[in-house]
Amino acid sequence: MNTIRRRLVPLAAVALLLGLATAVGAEDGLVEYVEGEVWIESSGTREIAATREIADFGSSVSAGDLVITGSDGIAIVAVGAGSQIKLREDTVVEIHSAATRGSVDLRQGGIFARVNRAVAGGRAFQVSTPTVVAGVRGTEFFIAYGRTIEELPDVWLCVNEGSVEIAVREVDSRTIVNEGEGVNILSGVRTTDPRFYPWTTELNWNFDPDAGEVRDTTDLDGAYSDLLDQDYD
Amino acid sequence: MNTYAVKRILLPALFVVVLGVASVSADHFPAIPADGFEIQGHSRFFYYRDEISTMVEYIGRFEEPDLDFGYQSLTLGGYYRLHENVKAGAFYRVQAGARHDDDWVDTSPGWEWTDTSDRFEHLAILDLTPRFLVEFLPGANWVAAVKNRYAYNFFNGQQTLLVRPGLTWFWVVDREPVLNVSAQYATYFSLNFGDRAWYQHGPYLNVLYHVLPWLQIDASVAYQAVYWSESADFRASHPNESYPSNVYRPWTLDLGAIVTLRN
Repeated sequence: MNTIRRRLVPLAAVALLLGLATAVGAEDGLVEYVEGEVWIESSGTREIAATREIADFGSSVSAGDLVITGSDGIAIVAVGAGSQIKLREDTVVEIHSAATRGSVDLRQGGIFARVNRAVAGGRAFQVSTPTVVAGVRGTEFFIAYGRTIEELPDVWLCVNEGSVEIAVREVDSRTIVNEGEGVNILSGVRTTDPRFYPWTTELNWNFDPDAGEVRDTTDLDGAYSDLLDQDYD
Repeated sequence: MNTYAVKRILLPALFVVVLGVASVSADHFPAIPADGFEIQGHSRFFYYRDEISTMVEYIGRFEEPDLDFGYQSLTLGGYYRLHENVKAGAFYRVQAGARHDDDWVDTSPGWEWTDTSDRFEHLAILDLTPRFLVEFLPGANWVAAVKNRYAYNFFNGQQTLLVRPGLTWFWVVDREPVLNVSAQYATYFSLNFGDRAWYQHGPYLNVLYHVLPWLQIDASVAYQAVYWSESADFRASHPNESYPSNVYRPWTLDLGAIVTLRN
């Protein structure tokens, strides 16, 4: 699954455009917590070669950097005043400028996002793919790539608090996903009706290591009907 | 739970009615019809949590000759997913209205079927069902399975084994199954009774519609051959005789609803 996702990264990156009013100090992101293998990869410039460093508590992340978690890695990154993202294992995100219009591109895997509602204010908080724009009205949601059954991978989005508006560009449809609901953006272009998905109860929304486990071990395969697990008599 | 397994021991009250006619010439023979039509209803509840799915099932059946209410059962238990492709189950069942071979009794001066409508029997059931995706078939959403179900009846010690291979096609829309169509062939083996290795077999076709993610309705049509053996009373009083006819081939329509909750 992860291999497939990596292959499809160029095809369907999900951008989380965080409308944040302030930057996190001089940097655009700050690593607040890590477990397992986590790296920060800079793309480099003409003057500076690309680098890849092991991330640690307090590592700063600049616009354009990638934060990468390994198969056992998780990371919590502050991306604006009071706003955080939590990366699941095997995830790649690109951090954009928090000073102007902060954004995060999800290139692989899945993340939890907790947006400071006060900071976000009336600004548009958007989740984008090449075909979908999700306007985030709430403060806590989960987004991740699912299986690739058609041309592009599915994208799951679940809201834990607040609501999210999803717009599919190709068909010009808009869908509101409310608290407790989820949708699957099939192949990144068709949005299912929002509803409660039992598997989302397994999601670990905790961002505070002092309050308990922050690692999310939800198996996203559980989001799909398992035809071998259907009992009728 | 496929209840055709108990068909053989549940032959309807038809025999009781026809007995009056049969007794004129040979009242020690039960009148076993060549065919018939029965209607069965079921309701099931499944609750899935991790690798375990618990089940509660109620079945009621209207049987020949007048589609009177005959058999009913309540089953409790569950499955454990041993492996991605294998589930094992254990169940308890209480049933009433079941009719066994030995329920054809000598009531001198006549013969009759014992009224079992108020006789409660308790069964222990073990189930092992392997399933496999059959991806090379068109549409890819095919599952082949073989249900193997052993039952022990504490009332009479009878042991039975159901072997039911089948193939199911799932119509999947937006990653969710909408409709299932199954074709299966069930064979019921008598492990410690009767005069043959099996006592019932036949095909059935099932269509299941997913009304909601948690609610399914389904309908099955079965055509089974049910074999009867001579009862203990019959063998004792007529040791050198056999039933002149002993195969009953009913069509059975089975309708029901299934509630499925997953956590």
